[in-house]
Amino acid sequence: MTSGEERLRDDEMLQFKFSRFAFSFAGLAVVTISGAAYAGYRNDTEICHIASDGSGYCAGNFRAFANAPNNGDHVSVNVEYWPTYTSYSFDGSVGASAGTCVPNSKLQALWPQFMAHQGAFSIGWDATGTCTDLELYNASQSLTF
Amino acid sequence: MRRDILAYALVAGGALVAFIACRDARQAKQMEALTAQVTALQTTNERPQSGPTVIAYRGPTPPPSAMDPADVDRIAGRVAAMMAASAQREKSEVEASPEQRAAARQGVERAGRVLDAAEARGHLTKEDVLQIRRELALGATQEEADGIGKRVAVALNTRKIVREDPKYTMP
Repeated sequence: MTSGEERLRDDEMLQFKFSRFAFSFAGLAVVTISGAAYAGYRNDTEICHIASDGSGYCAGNFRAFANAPNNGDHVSVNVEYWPTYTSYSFDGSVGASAGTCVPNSKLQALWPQFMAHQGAFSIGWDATGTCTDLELYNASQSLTF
Repeated sequence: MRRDILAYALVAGGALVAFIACRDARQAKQMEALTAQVTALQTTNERPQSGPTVIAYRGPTPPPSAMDPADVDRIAGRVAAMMAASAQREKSEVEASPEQRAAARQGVERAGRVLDAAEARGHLTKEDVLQIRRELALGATQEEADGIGKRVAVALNTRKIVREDPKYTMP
């Protein structure tokens, strides 16, 4: 997972686009046209990918995962408080691509923000099961509410 | 003849006196009207100074909040809970005696063995996770708990194990 592959793009309105994924081809024309004609435009995206070494990423917005036609698709951002430690984890799947990770200390500090987030996101993890990068986007077309 | 002239003079003088009298009366009425208007204007100007000064500022309408107040409270509650847990954790780490620390390490080792057995079976059960949690509850540090959690994540991500219940995955 390389965190630089998802980019926030600033056109006339803020555009959110995953440049690496084939799914964006269909929406490319929409993304590149002037935003003024697309007030109210919604971009629901869900994707998870996992490599053979166990590293991977999930990206999209919560609304897309919740409304996915496949009932198994989901993402969850979890925290459980125990007496001497706190259990943080992320869990996501799209079809057969499923992954779980435990955030590093830096991302643990951002976990409450991630849990409350309602826009688009991208999270990646390495082969050790550590969530290593987290990107949060507040884009009007991706908001869950 | 003289009488006629005198009569004409008297009539003319009377008319002149009457004309002057009427003009003065009209001017007096106009003066009264003007005086009344000036008084009214003075009263209007003095009115704000007679009572307390009230300034009503109507600034721009504040924009609607981007977040629902309930969400803000929810986030604040979570942050507060995390801070409390963090403080408790630091306190526990500071106050743990050598015996407690040793017991906690042994619990972490046993939790690891539970996970070893799950990997050998290829199946992580709810009871496995509950057992791991019990072992870590003996005093595992954040780092130790994260280590067990990452082992679970790797086993799942590499398809070494299948979990019984997604709600019982992490320690």
